[in-house]
Amino acid sequence: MYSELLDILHSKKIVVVGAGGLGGNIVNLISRLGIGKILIFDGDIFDSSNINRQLYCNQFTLGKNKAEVAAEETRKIGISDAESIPDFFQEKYFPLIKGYDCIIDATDSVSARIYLEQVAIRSGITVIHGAINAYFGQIAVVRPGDKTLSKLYSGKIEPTRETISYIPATVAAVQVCQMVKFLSNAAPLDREEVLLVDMFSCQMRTIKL
Amino acid sequence: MIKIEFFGLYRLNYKMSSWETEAADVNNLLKKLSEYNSFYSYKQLKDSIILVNGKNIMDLNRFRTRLKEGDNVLIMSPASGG
Repeated sequence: MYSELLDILHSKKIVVVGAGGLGGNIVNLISRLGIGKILIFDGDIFDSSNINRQLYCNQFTLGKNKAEVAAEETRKIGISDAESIPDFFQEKYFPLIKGYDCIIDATDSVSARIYLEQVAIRSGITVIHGAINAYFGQIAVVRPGDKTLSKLYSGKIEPTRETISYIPATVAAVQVCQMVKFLSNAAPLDREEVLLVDMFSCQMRTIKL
Repeated sequence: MIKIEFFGLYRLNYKMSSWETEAADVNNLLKKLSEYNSFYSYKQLKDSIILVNGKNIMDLNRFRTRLKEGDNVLIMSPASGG
């Protein structure tokens, strides 16, 4: 069963949008799952303020582009093929994601996420959403046409507060879990279901928007 | 009594994960909550995601959704960082 799953994953191509707190952990996890091809977008460079929570940020990567570092680390592992685009995902990159199996949302703003909901519709590719704030986070599987993110961000958005190392690692792991369930057709979250993660009280629960 | 659970920064800012009160509807509940703890104004609370017994109030009768003894209300705001 495990080898069948690995065969499925090896045939898949994944886009990761953002290679910071969530994205770095996600790229690491999916690189070790043997995903066939990983395309990583991030226009940002590592800064000393990232070191408390971003996996690939260290004294040797400060000042380097996050997507390029993540792709390099993937190639070092030596299982998945990785390509980096040192830029934020935008209109001109649509042709590059054609034929990909899912997009992982590891962005860090509401506007980028609302845009990804539109990207899902236009490309027909499902987005595995994840976001964090302080001790909290949420995960969703956004199929093309779903309004999960529009509903989620329709009202009050709290300012982003400082988070710590195990929060992005936890939410990233759950996102990758949902990605695997989606790709292997093994009962991922339903449409417009959201998995809430509370690392303050160590609880998880699912809600339907 | 109606049980109100908080998720996300509400939980930190209110310094409690849940609260109980009596209220006729969601509107009445939000007013009582803003009077009990002023961290969030009534207007700010109206911008939250609110579920009554697992259903989004936007799919019920919005802020006029009636509440009864034993109902569970979830009030949350989404995370947006990465």
